[in-house]
Amino acid sequence: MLASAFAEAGLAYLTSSLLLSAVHHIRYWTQMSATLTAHGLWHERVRVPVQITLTCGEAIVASLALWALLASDVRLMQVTFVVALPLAAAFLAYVSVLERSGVHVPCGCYFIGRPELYDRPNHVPALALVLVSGVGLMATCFLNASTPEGLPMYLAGLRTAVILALGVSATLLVQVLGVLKMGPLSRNGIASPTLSITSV
Amino acid sequence: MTASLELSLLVVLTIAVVLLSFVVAAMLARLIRLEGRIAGGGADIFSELVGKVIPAELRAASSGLSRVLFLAEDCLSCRQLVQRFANEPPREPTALLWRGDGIPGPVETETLKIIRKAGHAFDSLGLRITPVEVWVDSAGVISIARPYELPRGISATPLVRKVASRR
Repeated sequence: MLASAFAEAGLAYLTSSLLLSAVHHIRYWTQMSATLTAHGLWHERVRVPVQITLTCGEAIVASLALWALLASDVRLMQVTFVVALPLAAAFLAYVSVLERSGVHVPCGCYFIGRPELYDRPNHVPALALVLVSGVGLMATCFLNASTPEGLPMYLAGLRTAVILALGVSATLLVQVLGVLKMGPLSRNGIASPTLSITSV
Repeated sequence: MTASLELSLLVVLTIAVVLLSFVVAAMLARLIRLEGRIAGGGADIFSELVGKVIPAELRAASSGLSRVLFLAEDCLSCRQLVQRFANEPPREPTALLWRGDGIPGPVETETLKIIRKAGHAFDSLGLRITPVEVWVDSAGVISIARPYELPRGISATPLVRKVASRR
């Protein structure tokens, strides 16, 4: 039962975070392009293909996760986590490279907050994706039941909805914590692009 | 047995999700509020300084100069600014309050009075941001407080940094 909870919560997190990211990337396509340009790691020719691949990849993995969650199919859950884990690891590696390169631009990993107010990459969302994918994959190894037992159909549906809500809440929590970690907001609450803040 | 356990877990999970949603909503609201203050240019931050009286010892040390700059060692723009002052002293008589151990720049000039290790002055005014320019009247009351306008050639710290305090 615990393994099932971990796996389903992981799928809900993958669904919500990747779907919201994909929607955000589509909605703010130009901004994403500018961010990738500012990173300085992509050649001009590959930037647009990277954008398209990334956005499509997010949407596909999110759909896969949602499908696995709704179908409660263990094999599909495993496939989803197996696909998500290397992608999340690659994302984490990319953010790490950005951090080491010392660029003063955000990583573009957040769909909340105002990116123009932050000046450095942050690995919180990528790390969360890696952890969720890894834990979810491990959890699926202990699963053998394909459907939750004992609950009537309407309650099973409610259960799925609550788990999805948990995924959305967890996604937003990770985003907010990551954004707060990026700047001095949490301690000082004040800042300006031309000012430095010292902790007292 | 299994059904009742599942149902209990569902209830607990629902309550947990609702509570988590409240936490997230509160944090999100706080983030939006803080970002709004940043994007607003920080005018409120400086208006809070107006009307405050600078510490008496600072007033004495600054020889009654009416313009006071607050600069800190852990602020890139401040270090650049001080180095610039070594070649181009400010035109207007200025007291420079330096927070930190070593000042990278100038010796005092006719128009520049440097007060080192002035962390206590920052603390007494609740000043955590630099560089800041303050104008005080003869009684030591702050009449104008604003971010110091960096001259050309000095790169503004791209965005905010958080560093450990050093006096």
